[in-house]
Amino acid sequence: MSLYYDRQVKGFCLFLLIFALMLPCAGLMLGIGQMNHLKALYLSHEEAVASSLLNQGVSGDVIARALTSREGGDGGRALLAAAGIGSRTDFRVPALFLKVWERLLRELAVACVLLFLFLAIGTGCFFRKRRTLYQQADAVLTAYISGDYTGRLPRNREGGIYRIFSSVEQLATMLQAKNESERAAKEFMKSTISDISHQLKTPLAALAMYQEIMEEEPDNPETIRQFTAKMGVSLKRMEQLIRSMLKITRLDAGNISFEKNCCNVKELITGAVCELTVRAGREGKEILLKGNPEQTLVCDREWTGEAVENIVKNALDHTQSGDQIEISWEQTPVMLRICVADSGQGIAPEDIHHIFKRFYRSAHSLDTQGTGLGLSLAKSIVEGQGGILAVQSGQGQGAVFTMSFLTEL
Amino acid sequence: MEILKVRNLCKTYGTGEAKTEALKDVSFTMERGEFAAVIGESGSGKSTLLNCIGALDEPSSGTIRVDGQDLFGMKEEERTIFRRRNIGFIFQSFQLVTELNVEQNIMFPLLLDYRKPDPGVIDEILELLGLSARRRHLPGQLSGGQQQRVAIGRALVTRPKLILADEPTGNLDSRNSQDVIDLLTQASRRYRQTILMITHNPNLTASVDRVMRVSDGILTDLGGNANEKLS
Repeated sequence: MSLYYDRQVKGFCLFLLIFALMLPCAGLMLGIGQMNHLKALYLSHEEAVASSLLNQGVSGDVIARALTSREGGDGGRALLAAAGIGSRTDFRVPALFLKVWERLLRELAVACVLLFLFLAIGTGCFFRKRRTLYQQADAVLTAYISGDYTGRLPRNREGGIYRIFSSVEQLATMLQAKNESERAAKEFMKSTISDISHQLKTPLAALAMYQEIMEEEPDNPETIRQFTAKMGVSLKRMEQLIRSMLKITRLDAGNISFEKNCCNVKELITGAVCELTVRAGREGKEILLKGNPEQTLVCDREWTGEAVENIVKNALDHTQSGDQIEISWEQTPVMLRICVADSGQGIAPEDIHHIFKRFYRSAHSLDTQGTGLGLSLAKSIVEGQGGILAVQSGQGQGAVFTMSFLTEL
Repeated sequence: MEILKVRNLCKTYGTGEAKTEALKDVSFTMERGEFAAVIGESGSGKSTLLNCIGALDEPSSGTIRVDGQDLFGMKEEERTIFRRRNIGFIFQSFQLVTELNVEQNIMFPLLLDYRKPDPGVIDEILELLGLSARRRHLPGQLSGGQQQRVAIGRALVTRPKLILADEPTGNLDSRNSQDVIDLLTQASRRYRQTILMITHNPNLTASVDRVMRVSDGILTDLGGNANEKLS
């Protein structure tokens, strides 16, 4: 990969060549200029001679004849030879000047050749260094293209080319990350599908069994009544499960668009828990609301309400008669936080990192009726809207779930 | 993808009787997109750990690899440029430039690297941090929490491989502290940004992915909050 195929490099080399040729030309012109200056000086010297002779009484005729004489003679030649002065109207300058001229040309030629050589060597070195750098980069980039990210571009220096390498590195990192996340997505899909099939297997098996039993005793009204009721329960469970699974998968895949409106927080929460309040009353638990009644939040009312409902439902599932569930909301400098605090059994430390996972069932859990998706769904809803769902709890100390949404202030 | 790999890191100050072992054989690894917190009492060695990782201090022995590159195997000049392009810092005392406004403070690291800032990126960061309305304000006109948010924006703008936060909530009240932690969590998720934070307050570690404790120079991993979501 030669550097000289690059058009810009070729152009630059041409420029250097032209410049190198211009150097001697410039030198030559300077030399001619100097010569003309010399001639002028000589002329003024002649002038001085003429004036001096005139002043000393030599007649102008004699001087003129002397100065303009073109005829040489032995005497004259001898004098000339002694004095070393040549004709001044001739193109051939005096020997003295010729010597100067020759020396000038010689020295100019040598200087030009040396400088040009120096320039060529310097440029060659620079281009060679660049070519090595480009070859290095080319090798690393070729490796990147074939998926091998172990090499690294040289990038810890100043300069435009190194910044480009730095940016290419960033690009490579992004590509690598994308590959990894694609792989993770595939794994995730696999595990989701196996989850679904696993969860549906049990109720389906139960339904098959009920149907068999009913088929065997079609005339027994008691059996029929009992098992159709059981079938109804199973079917409802399956329907709920499928609906929740669909919701959560679509949320995680980003296929749901949230309709964000300015909602009154109190109304949103009240609407979300109205059904649960009835259940709470029945179970001897209290649901309290606390917060600024005027507070608003920009969010999707329906989905956010569902998230709150799921969290409160989970709280109800893990509290006993006499316990309290307090839902409070507060505006902090950047966030609006909705907290659901219960005084129930709390979450064991070995469970707390897993409660948002799908179908996770704690060993201590009292809840056997739920789908196991409530908290996962709540988390997906909150995070899908750009919020955060966090939990703080200790064994026997109740739990506090906090939903935080970004607000502009 | 491993972003940070620390192996057998030791840092000793002084000699003889005054010898202090600030860090003793510390080893851990961080993956991309992880938000880890290091908690410990003052004097436990956590600031020393951060300084070594940020190439602000040289360890006595051991290796630190950021994105596969050995930090202390490089020359000083290369290390400086590497730090500028790959590591972001958030300090307890904000350290904003008082003569520049919010927007300029955030753009600052890009300008230091002779890069032209992309207005779209700046707008996005301002929006994430809730500072769009204050983009032309000077640090003197902002509260502590707002100033720290500007500092976070500044650390995020170059999309560094690793962000080191040294007690980011130390000078803030509890509400602002929780906000700052949540904003860092958001940034970590949205930009798959790896963040290592040190703090002496264990209550702020509810939303981080992983917690480690440093005590007398020894690091122990307290386990993580691994998130299974597709993000």
